[in-house]
Amino acid sequence: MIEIEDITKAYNGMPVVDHVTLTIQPHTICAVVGTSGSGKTTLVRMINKLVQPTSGTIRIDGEDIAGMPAYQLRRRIGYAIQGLGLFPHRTVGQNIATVPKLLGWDKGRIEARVEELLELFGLDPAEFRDRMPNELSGGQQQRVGVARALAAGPNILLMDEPFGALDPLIRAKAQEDLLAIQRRFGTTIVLVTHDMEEAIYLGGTIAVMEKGRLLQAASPQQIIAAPATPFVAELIGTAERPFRLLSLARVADHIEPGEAAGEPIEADLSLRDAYAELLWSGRSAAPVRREGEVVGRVSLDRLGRLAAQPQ
Amino acid sequence: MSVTDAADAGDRSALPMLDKLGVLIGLVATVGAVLPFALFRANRIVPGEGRHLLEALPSVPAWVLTGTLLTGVIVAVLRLPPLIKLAAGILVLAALAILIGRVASYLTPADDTFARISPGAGFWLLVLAFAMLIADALIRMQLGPWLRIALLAVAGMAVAVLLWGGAWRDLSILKEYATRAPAFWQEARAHLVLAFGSVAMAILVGVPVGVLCHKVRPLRASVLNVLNIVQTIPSIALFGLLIAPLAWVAANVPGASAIGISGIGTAPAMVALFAYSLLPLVSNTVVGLQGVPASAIDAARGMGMSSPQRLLGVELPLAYPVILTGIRIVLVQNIGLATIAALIGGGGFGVFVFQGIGQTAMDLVLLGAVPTVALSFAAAVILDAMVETSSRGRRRRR
Repeated sequence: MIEIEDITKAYNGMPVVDHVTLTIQPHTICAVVGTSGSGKTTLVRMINKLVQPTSGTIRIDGEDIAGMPAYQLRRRIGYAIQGLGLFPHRTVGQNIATVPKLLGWDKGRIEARVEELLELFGLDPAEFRDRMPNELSGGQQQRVGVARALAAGPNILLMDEPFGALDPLIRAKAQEDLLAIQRRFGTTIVLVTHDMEEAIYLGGTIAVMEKGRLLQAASPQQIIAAPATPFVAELIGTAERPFRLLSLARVADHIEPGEAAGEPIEADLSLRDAYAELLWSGRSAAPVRREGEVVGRVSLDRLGRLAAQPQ
Repeated sequence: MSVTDAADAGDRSALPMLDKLGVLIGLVATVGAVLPFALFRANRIVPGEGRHLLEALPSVPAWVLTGTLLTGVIVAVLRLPPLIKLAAGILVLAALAILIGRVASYLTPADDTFARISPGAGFWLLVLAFAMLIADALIRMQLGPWLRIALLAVAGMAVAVLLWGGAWRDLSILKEYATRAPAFWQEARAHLVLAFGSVAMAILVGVPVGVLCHKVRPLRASVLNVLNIVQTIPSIALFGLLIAPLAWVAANVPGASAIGISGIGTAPAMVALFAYSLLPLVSNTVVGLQGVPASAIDAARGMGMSSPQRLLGVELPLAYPVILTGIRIVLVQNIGLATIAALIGGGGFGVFVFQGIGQTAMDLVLLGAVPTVALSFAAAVILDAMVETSSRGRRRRR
């Protein structure tokens, strides 16, 4: 658990982060959203002491980080940034091995870990271990960046716009991978993004920041249904609200009994995708298929009601 | 090679079949062939009389050389693949190198130990022309760094074979060498110690100072300014200026003279060369460190690298190609500058240059100048190759 309590960071008296209090539950993803200059990056960089707070405290699992040596703290926390910061003079394997090496793991253990991570991220170790970062595509570099951040098995992973430089298709894949990895390791992830769509897709909690202040920290449903300020509503986009709401749930959770005609919809699609499919094919309902079997149907009517503002 | 092909195709309309640089090379070579090929002097200090190519050699080798030169010029002027141009250039240079030795033996009257035969303006122009041809071909072939070093080694060995095989024995410059061989090697050692020693000292001091300037921002401007001023002091003046303070140190600091510090000699020469080396090294270190991607440094910090770990593990390795470029500049510069050390008794190849000027014996000047040039050239080729290998992994982008 990360407890940020009344934290302020000021440069020359100008607060960049202004009395922010935020608790991040263990094993969840917290997306910190805001425009540039909102203080979201500064807030996250205070968690691994890359920025020293002017006042306030941050506790990790109950322990105040102010008393911990910065380098020790950082070795326990994964860190992945936009532009990745891969070391261009080191191979992929050496890059991933950075923190384990700092922690003094023995050689065999490091090698095994590098291999494991490369496989986990779908990069064949034999092919990629000895490549230089600039010989990789943007998507591959991104995966190496995250693999490096996870190398020592940290409980916490801080990510600053980790997908910012990727094109939309690769970005979607990378986000999916991140979710899978988070589920697998139960890592607590704090992710900085300016993209509300990304925040809604990834975040268990969304923390919206503006001008150094935390405007709202809540689940995506709550943020969409009841934005705390006009700025939050603006970030979500009023025209997008019903669709964003639909994107949060899966077809599997809203299957109705009954039959429908036409091509079935997969149960693990989001409601938004199902809605789009129904509209596009001009049907009022479609059969739902789970693991190759039709298990019920999903209707435009039902989806329409789910997309309405929750009471 | 496809790039050059495309470029060739672009201006083909203007001058069909002709290579622009090749035409220039051909012109230089033609002038070279007309000017005196060798100089004959009755003794080492009288002015020489020119000997034309055809009078400098017996008829068969003279015509062989003429034919070779003609072939070389034709190959240079036409648009041909660089490999053919390279081969032609090497062939001509080899012929020139071997035959200039023949010229010396042929023109020296029997049993005359005073006569001096030296290469004439024509010879040097021909060498220049075909060296240009080779250099151009090598650039177009885009040889890798290791291949370039290998070529340098082969060229060095070829010269060694000509030298020790006795092919150039009768050339004036080697006659000068023959009478002072022990001194030559002693000065060669002094020269190397001055050039490499001063660069080594400058690396040991300059890189840490560069790191310090990078870390402590206010220091940067002042340090670089001071070094800039040092760099502008004329070299001879700097050598001279150091005589007084070092003489004082030698006289007043106990033990200073015992380790070789004195007003004249190696110490002031070393100090001056060291001072000249500092600016390029410090500024290249600063520039190199500034060029390290901010994201790499941020990631290094974020992953818990301590400040020294960051410096040694990330910043210096990434700045290394730029620092190495600084070392290359300084080494080539100091190999040349070290000749001036002879003026204040510091030794080195400059000894022969200044003796030669004093005696108006140009052959003696060459005995000092030619090895200096060869040394600089070799150092430049080797360090360029090192710079390229060191930055290679990072330059291939996507």
